[in-house]
Amino acid sequence: MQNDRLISRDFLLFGLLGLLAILLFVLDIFFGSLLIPFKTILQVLTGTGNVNPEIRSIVIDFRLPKAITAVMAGMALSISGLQMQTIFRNPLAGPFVLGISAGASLGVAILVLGFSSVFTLGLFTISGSWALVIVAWLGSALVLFLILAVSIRIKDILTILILGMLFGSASGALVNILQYFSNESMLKSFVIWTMGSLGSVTKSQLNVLIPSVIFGLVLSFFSIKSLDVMLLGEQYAKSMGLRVRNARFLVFTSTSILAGSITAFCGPIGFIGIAVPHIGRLLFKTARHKILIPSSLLIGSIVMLLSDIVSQMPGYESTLPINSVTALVGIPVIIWIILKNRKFSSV
Amino acid sequence: MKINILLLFSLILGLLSCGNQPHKQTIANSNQFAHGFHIAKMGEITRLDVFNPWENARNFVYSYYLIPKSIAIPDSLANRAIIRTPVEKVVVLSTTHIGFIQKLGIESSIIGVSGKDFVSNPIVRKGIDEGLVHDVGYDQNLNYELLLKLKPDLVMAYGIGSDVAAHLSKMKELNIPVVINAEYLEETPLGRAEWLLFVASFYNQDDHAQQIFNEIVMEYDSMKTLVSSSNRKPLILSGLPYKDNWWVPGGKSYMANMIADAGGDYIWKENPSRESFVVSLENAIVKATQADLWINTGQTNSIQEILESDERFKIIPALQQKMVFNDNKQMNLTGGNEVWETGAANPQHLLRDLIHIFHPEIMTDSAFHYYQKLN
Repeated sequence: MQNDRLISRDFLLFGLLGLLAILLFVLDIFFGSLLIPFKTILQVLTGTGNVNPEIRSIVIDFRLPKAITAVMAGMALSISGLQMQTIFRNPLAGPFVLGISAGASLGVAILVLGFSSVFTLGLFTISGSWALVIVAWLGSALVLFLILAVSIRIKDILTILILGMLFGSASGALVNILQYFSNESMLKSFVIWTMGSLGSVTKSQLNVLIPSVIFGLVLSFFSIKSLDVMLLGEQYAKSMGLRVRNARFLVFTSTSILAGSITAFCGPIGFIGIAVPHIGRLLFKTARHKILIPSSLLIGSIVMLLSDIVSQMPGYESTLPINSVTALVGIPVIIWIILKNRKFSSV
Repeated sequence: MKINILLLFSLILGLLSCGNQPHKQTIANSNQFAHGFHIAKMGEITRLDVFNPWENARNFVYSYYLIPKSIAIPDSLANRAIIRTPVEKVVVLSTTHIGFIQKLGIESSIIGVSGKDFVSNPIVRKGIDEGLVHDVGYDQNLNYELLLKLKPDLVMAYGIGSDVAAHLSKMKELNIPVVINAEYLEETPLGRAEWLLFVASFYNQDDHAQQIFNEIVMEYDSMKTLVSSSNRKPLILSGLPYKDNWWVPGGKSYMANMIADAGGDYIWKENPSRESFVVSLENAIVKATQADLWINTGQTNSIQEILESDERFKIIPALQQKMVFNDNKQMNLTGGNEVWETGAANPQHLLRDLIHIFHPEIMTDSAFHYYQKLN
């Protein structure tokens, strides 16, 4: 009986979150730094009326891909964060604990800071979107490879966590060295990359980003059961007949694909991955991944879309870096939830 | 109150110049265009003042005393920043300084550069290859030991931000004769070029430099007049965006003034800023679609490369019609661009190129100096 009530409460919550996500997705297309009348946007979206081609392009080529990217980033980072929190049984874990963003940063730093003089300070030519994406991906893949190699040999999950952080620190140190020896304009390009960007992802890049994210998400759906079991500790999981290393391998692969793709295309976007799973746990009052994974998908999209709307500062001539906004929008939300619930649900 | 002080000051100045010591009087070398420096001759000694030599600097004045090597340093100036002239061994921390020295034809005086890869000047390049010209590093990586070893007569520095003050005082502490050159902060092309007089004063080449500069002004102004009669003013877009934002030259910047002089209508001319400012991609794109011409597209060499940086630029009509021009015709193999080196000292070349781009009907016979048409 009580169970039924809980289930119907979950359904209601999912329905509300879904509606909110759709609403914000629409708002994200309607609001940008350029003020376009609602009617015009409707005309563009429905393909009716006589809209000037620049405005059509702004909506179709700029805002729509940006909103889709926001949803992708929100979902991917939240799920990566959730998986890492579960597997390391640590509420402070996030998508980047394995050093994935550090690896991506290293790749980008080598391209932008290390080789730019060779490419005639060619930030613009070589950052020519794809080059940047490819090096970021290579960087995170390198870290993933190291982590996977280690995780096959080493049993203790804490050791892997420590190694991940060490890989991250090592990449960070190399990035620092590159930064130290680079000039201002190179540095600026790199810093802008680290601040994250949703708007620079184009439609043809979405053709790569969307399938990657979906693939990563599918892998995480396969892990739902093993994630639930792993919450109880590895010894217990083993006694339940779970092949811990295989399960771990699956989760690491999924996380790396998700976090790595987003970092490659959008830069290292912080905060979302750590915070969103907690919001999910608090709202749904459960630790079951059958609920947590879909709720993180929705909440991640919502927070990211909201951040993007804020970062556009409708009506202003310039935009804010998305990374700062995710933190500034999200932190008050988390504080409010913590205070309201008094206790922060432990994983 | 301020006016009173000014009055008093001019009165004193007037009294001084009425005195019977003409060789000691202060003759202000009033610049025609440049605001960032001031040359005052005091007999054989020259005082050079440089004002606010970095972005957003307020009320900063650096004063240098240029004292010929042939005379002794007066006791009264012992603690001042002193450069003995004419300088023979010079370290330049910006390639732009090479451009000015090149105008005077004395590049052989250069013994150190900052970032040897960016140097285009053949004489300096040869010196680098032969090990006669050294790379002294830059910013926080300045090789002070090398600077000391080179014993230059002059280090010409420049600063983007106030942090340069720290490098300057460090060099001063090490007794390295350093001056700051703030030519890049001038808002007008001729103002920038006038810094030739500043550079020349260290070589005791003032007259020579004045003559060269007068010729530049004449050439520049005659071209400007030529184009001012044209009624057509093409709308000009400048720059290339990076990620979500587009950094564009301010409406009162050097580039904006150059575009206006060349008979172009700069798309952000209403902006009040002297420095670059940032516009969101959405706003920039809408403006960009109105432009007739697109110039200064970063490091790109072809329209294809612009599209690779962001395929969505294909909606910009100037790009569709291949009306895109970039100032990177003369790149060296290691990434230096001739325009960074000699552009400031040669605004007439830049103006000629821009008129050629904006008004091909007026400038029919000239070939591009710095620019190239992207295909």
